[in-house]
Amino acid sequence: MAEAAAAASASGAQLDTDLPKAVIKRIVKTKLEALGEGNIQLHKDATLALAESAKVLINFLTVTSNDICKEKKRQTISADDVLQALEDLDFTDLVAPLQVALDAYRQATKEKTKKRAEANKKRKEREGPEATAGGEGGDAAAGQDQQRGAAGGGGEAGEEEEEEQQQQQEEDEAMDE
Amino acid sequence: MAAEPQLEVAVDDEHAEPEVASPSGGKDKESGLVLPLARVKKLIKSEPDVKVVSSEAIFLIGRAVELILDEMVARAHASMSRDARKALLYKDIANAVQGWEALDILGDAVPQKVLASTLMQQQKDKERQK
Repeated sequence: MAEAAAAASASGAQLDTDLPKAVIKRIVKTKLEALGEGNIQLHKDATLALAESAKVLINFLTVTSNDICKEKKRQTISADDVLQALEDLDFTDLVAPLQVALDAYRQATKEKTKKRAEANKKRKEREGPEATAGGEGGDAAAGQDQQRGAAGGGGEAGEEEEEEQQQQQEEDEAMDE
Repeated sequence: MAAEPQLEVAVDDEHAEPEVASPSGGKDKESGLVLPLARVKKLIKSEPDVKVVSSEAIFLIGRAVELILDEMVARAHASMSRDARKALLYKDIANAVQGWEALDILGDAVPQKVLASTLMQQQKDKERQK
């Protein structure tokens, strides 16, 4: 498998662990437009260099965040671990804007969970208790999300979210069939 | 068009690509990220020592990288402007990396490229001095 990956990247083909060039280009274009320069040509090598940089940065941030998480003797890499990693890596200027982005993300996630809980509730009312046997688990998870969100703040909810979102998606898909 | 001494660089024809107008500006509706969240998660999980990552952390790593890329583009743009060019080249990215200490972690990912002829000349000069 390693040989296939090496061969693919040697031939210039994109690996499925690479970030799509189109996305990198979009990021560059948006930034250039914000700088008032809409008509700059972007050379291929420049795009590739940025894509590669992004990949290395993700890995480096991950490793640093993981180290911080382990130092705290915790199991799950949290948002706080990432913010601390950025400080440690000399990206202090990013911490404030990222905190804002994180707050917005938490807000959006709470609303999504609320909507899902409401949708589940309506479906239950429409279809009756037997048809939504799978929905029980979904409601419990959604209910927990709401309680945790209200009580503990985003940090707690964020940690468990990943597993629950996956469960919820699986349940949603099952119910749609 | 002025003839510029060009390195053999493959120029991507931007005009050939069909630009799909996206009302959200290419941003994911839920996370607000341009980078694909699933791909970011895949890269995070590919680290051997990593087990569980919260979705918030995945989002933050993605967003942090976007902001770093933004800054790299700004610095590359400055490098380009100093040369009075209208095209963003590899060397502009390399200059941006070089001038930003925090990006030392990129190591050899974006090295300064040297023309082979320059290296050969340096070699010749060294041998002449022996």
